[in-house]
Amino acid sequence: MSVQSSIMDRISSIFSFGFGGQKPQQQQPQEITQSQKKSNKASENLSLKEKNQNKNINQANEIRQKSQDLIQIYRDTIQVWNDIKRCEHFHPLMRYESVKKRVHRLIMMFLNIYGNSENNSGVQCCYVQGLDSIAVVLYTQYLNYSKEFYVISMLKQIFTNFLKHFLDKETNNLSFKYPCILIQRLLSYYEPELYLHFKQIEFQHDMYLVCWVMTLFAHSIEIEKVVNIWTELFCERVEFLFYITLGILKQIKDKLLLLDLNSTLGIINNIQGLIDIDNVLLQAKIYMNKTPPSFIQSDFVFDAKRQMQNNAVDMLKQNEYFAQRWWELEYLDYRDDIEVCLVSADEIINVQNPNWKKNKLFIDVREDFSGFYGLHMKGSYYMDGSSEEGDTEFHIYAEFLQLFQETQLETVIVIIGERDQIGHEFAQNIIKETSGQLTQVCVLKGGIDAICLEQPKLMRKGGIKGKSETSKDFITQYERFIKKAKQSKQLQASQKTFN
Amino acid sequence: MGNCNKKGKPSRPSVRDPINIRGDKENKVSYAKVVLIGNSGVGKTSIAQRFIEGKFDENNKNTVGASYFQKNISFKDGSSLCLYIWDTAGGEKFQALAPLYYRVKSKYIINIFQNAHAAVVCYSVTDDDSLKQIDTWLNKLDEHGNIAKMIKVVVGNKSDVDKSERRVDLKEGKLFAQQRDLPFFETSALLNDGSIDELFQKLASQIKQSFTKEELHATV
Repeated sequence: MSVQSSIMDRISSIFSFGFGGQKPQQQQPQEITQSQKKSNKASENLSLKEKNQNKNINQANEIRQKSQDLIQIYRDTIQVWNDIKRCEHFHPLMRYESVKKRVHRLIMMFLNIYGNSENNSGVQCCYVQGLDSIAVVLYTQYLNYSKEFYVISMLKQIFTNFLKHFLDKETNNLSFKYPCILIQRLLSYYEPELYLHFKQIEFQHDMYLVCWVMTLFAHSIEIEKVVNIWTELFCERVEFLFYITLGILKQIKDKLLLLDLNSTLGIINNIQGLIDIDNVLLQAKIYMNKTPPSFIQSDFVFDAKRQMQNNAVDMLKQNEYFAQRWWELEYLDYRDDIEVCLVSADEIINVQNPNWKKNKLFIDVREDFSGFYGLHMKGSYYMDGSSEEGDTEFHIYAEFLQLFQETQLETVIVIIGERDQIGHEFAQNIIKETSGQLTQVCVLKGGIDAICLEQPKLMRKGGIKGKSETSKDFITQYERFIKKAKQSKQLQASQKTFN
Repeated sequence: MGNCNKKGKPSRPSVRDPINIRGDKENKVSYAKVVLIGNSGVGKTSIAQRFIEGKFDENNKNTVGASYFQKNISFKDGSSLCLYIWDTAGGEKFQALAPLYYRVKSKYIINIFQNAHAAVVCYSVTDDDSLKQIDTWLNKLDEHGNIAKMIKVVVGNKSDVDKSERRVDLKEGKLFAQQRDLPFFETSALLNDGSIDELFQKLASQIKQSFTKEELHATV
């Protein structure tokens, strides 16, 4: 009944438009006769004919558009009903046909009001699987207060604030490329062990992320707990979804680290009972406060390739502003080969704050040492960015960084590269070398060029007069540091045992 | 030097499935990747569940994204084949994601499993539109598939329904598959009538026939 009636609603609205569209047709002969009365010139007749033709074409287009809309509504109606039928597991109420119909009607009303491009809210909503589950959860909650109609406005809020970000604006298809890249990067920053493990078993994040995000966890977590998550989520921005995801992964990390690909796929879509939601939310908040905003781009469905093909990019490249800021046009954030977080210079180097250097270690990884010698950031260390796993130098670097972080907890390691060597490979290799023990490694967007441009005062020339500094000298420095660090560690340990 | 990693990460024991992809070379198990595709609501997940777990879950949720199952099939000659079954979302907006699921980028199975060995294209006998859409799904397979030998079968699900609810006759489905030169099955995930076991059994033996052992052995 509800299926048919909501179709009828739409059909009637379209027909009313259709009649409106036919009116001008009836007026056409009148217009012609009036104009003929005024003058009988053939040319004017011609132009009028053209006008009429255009009118007809426009009308035909409108009707075509409307009929396409109608087909879409028909499809949505069927699809929504199809999905609602399969929501029985959510709540005992959902077994009743009448309740299903009510939820179906609410979703169709939501689409009816906000699915139209002419609605006042400015956002065109559409149906995407997952919305059914969200609607059911909302319905069962609002039913307690006899306020089922809130479901409609809540669906609109959820769609515009959360789901919309994962749909391509042009095609309305789901796009999860960037969200997957992002989760991988955040894992490499906070949980490098898990990042390495997933990489080793070649586990792809879209296997669970699509479901978690598009149902706002309703498919994976019990309804009572999902409501708790939503209460927090609705106060935050869409990024909070990723922090919750990270929180969940962190909580089941020990289990995940033991599993191979097949078992991981099995467990990750069945996390019910494995997680403690309150802890996850607490952890998510910690992540949210700790994560620099420049790690996350606001446009999740951005297509760098499409943008590159755009002619305007070539024009922009010639612009002086962008000529200096090459990194802004290379869309590093959307490159899937960069598996570590990217941070912007103005965020990581905040000279307004006198303590900005605290807990930060800057590592220059430019290939050419003479470049570093010529100009580098005050207090930054040089490491040969081209060194790799197996090199003794590389091993020393990893050891140094790991010890540094152990002695000075919470240190953020910022890799400074350059255009040809962004530094992500070095960062990824160093995480691997330390078996995921090194956390909080990120790469500076724009590398040395960004600091030169943003904070030229922080730059200095290398070398102490009379001493020839080479990369080897730096290694001896590290060795000294490591010796000291080890000594202090031993001292700490012995003090502990003494106490 | 080099001591600071002494306390590093303890090597974690890896819990592997009984059917390990990196099995002993002498005891090679063959692996085949099968994708279940078709319109939303035709019963892809139910088919997979009936086959894997031998049950029908009335409370099946709609698939958002993809899910994954695996099962071993034994043949009369004593050999066996492990099927990796990828159950995908049929929803319209998810179809853009579909190419992701056609390739399994696993380290162990990348060489052979870049693409599916077989595709089960499903429709529901209660929904004639889902039958029409099969061509779209077949086109998608051609577009994203890179195994030319990929075996495709057409499956009409929900054969248990009353005649009054049926929209696609058995004959109609058969003809449809015949025209495209594809094997045809009609199944019911609800009834335990063996139709789904038969489907996968036949599919497995055809995979075994069509692909060489090397193509099915997942040794890198």
